[in-house]
Amino acid sequence: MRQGTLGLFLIAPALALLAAVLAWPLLSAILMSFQDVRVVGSEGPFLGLSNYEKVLGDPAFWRAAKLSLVWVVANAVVQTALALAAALILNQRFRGAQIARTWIILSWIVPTVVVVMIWRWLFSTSGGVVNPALMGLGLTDRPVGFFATPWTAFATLVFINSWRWFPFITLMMLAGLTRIPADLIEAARVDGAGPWKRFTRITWPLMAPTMTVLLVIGTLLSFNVFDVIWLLTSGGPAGGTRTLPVLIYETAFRGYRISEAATIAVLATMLLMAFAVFATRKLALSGDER
Amino acid sequence: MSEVRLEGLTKSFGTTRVIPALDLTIPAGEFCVLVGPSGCGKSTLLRMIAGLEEPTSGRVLIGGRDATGAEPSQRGVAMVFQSYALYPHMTVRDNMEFGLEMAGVAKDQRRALVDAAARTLRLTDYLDRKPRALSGGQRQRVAIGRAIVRKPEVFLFDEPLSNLDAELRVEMRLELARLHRDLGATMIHVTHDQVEAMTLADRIVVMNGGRIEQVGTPAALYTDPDTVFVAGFLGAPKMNLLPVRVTGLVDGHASVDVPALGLTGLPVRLRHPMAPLPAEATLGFRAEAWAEAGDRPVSLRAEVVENMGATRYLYTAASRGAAVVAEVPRSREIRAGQDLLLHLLADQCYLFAAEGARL
Amino acid sequence: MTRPRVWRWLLWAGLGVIGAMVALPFWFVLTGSIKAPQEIIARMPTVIPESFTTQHYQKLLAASDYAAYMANSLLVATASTILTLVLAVPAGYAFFRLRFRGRDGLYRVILLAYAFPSIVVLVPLFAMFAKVGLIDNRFALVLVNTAFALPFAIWMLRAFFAQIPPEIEEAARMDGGPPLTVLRRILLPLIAPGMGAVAVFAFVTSWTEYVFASVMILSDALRTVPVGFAGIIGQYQVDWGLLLAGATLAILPVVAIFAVIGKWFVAGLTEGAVK
Repeated sequence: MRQGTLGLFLIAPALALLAAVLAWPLLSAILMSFQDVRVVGSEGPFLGLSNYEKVLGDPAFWRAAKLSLVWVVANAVVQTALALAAALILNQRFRGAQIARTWIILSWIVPTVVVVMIWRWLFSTSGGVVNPALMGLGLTDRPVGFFATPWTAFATLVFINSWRWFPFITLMMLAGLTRIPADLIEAARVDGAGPWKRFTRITWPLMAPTMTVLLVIGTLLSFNVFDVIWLLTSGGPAGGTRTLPVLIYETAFRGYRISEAATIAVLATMLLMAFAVFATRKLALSGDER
Repeated sequence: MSEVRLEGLTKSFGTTRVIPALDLTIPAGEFCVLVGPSGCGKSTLLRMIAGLEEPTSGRVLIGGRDATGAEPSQRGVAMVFQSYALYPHMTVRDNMEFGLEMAGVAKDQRRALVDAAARTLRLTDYLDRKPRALSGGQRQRVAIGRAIVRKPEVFLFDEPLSNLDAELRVEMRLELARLHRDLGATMIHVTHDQVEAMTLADRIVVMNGGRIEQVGTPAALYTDPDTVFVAGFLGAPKMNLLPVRVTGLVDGHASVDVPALGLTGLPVRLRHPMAPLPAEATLGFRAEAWAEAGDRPVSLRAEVVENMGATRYLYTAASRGAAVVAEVPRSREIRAGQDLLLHLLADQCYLFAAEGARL
Repeated sequence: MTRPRVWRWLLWAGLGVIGAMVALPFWFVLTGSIKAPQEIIARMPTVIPESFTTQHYQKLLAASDYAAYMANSLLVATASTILTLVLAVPAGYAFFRLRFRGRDGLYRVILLAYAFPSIVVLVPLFAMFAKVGLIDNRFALVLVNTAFALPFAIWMLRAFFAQIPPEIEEAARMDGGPPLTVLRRILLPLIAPGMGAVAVFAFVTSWTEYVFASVMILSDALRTVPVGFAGIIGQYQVDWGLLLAGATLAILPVVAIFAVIGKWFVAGLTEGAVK
């Protein structure tokens, strides 16, 4: 078929790159999870599933998995709330709306290192900005150690990561909102529905498909976050922020147990893929056809 | 200008056969209108002539050359789309020049051709505007202009007037008629609007379910329909169709009883007097088949009166399916609820078999 | 439009909160980079700077190869953006317009590329690049960044191609343009916002990429900004002024680019993609 060969020809370069940079190493990692590789570049004896047994029996793995789950959920909640509020606001007509829509993404276009550094500075216990503000407002009389305990460090990280990502989600939600025909809202207003009713009865239900897509995308994105956590807390204190990506990195580059890291990675991937496949099947992502 | 011939053309999408074997010859210089309800296959047929769809089997010949399988730009045809399909980011001039540029025509020659077409279509003032700054009618003229400059052998129109408002539609109809007169080119026009078909066509091709029901001049189709479908499709208001009983055959005419009107022994001329007559048939007659004087009086109660200005129509029921329509003579006064006595003219009646064929 | 005052007031309040949340940190960074050291660590942080100095920038540029880092990042980000567009435009078109076996399945698989932790590929990729001599080579980063940006790019461009009415392509076919010309003259201008969105996405993700950049590049001269900056943080732990200056410099190029084509990115995201 003329169309068929042209089509394959057009996607070949992109596919080739993806295969080389993503697919092949992934397969390689799966292979490594069945071997005993310690240091990068070396080979190791074939071990069958013993790596998997070891990892699945390791409480550290399950702790990291649990933390990843909490991380994903917490990020989803915070980001969705922030993004929805921001999207609803940006959807209104007001002076400077266009500028606001363009620049809200500011926190996303900044390198994570910089983000980390900024917030470490803002949240620091000596100097900084947040603590003096809190103390100045009388909310606390001693500086709060935002990174001191596992719990607060985790919460602070959720905030920072959400701060970075929520504008991106906001823009996509905005897309969904602008798709709601203005006629429907007008009709509701004529019918006497107040702003809250209009939101719950019309806006929210019509946004449901958009929100679901965003939830899936957001989950995938936040699960994989590594550098923000690593750069800020290195997984601490006391492993309180050691999510699965962090565990993988530590096992590979600090513990020099490449195969074990690969095993954890494969398990994490399986979890994520299962979620993604399940979610996309439910959503039927392949929309337009010709 | 060239002749277009379709031989044994079929089209299937997957396992669905949309167009069973179809043959059609459109003589050079003719304005041919393909008309029919939505989904009858007229657009598919046009696109196969254009080269945008490949026929499943059969041949398309344009100007005597086999164009089946040739690229659209190699066929010597130009198409005007329903949505105009103008390139939004280009000016009117660039839109019209694009095809010429692709064909390798030199810049000054392109300019000249576009200027000439713009004069013909009264677009000279708009040449430097972008489509979004034009009205619907202007855009349509640009689309036509784009087709004209390429001096094609055959013009193809895919429901070009459907997106225009009523008044503009009339204006553009005249424009198209004038164009045909001036250029003399072969034009194939697809529409679902029977008024367009009747007013523009040299010949009409009525299609239904992928098949050609009848081909002929507007007058022929109007006064001598082959099938009940053609009879009901052309002409407004729609032809009256009533079930009747055939009681006999007299001198080439069928005697029918029309229960709905209380008439018996109405003589309807048969096209095929030798063919066997069924017991039940459908009687067709138009709103203008009623007269003030005659020998078949029927009392019609006017449930609804439609005042069109120059004419008035009387409907005997509020629902179209159950009503009989009559054109009310100018001299008569009529209001809703009144009764009117009119005579049915038997020589303006048609008889159709149950499957639809003309008897 | 008549709307109760309360809602209007809430709107502005909400906008203020969100705006402050996004913008304030940067304000403090920018002003901090030009404040005198004492003012930076003062107990009460000042919103309006009371001092002015360029010493932090001078120290930064003298003490490190920051200018080189910026140049490297710019090079890598630009190359990644161009490569992403070159690969994604045909792919986006093919996935939308053309029919071929396995098309839908392949499309879903590509989107699933985001479904695994990028850490997974770090080690095998490093080994692979080492074998072909791509370690300590900026081209390796270009390849990686492009690969990570491609699924999003293909997704977005496909959605934009979907918006082009098919009659326009058919009209172009009737006008007889060879496919490449049709692509260049007709289709590309019509998906320009989508390309703008992809360009910004590719540039930003490339500019901000840390993990692979820190592993694949070994020599200081070829370092990109995020890695270089992390190194500076490690070195000048509490010299906040210097760090804030570095942060400001790290942010400026992306902000500048965004000021130019940012609205296309927003347009692309809000118009194009969500199905």
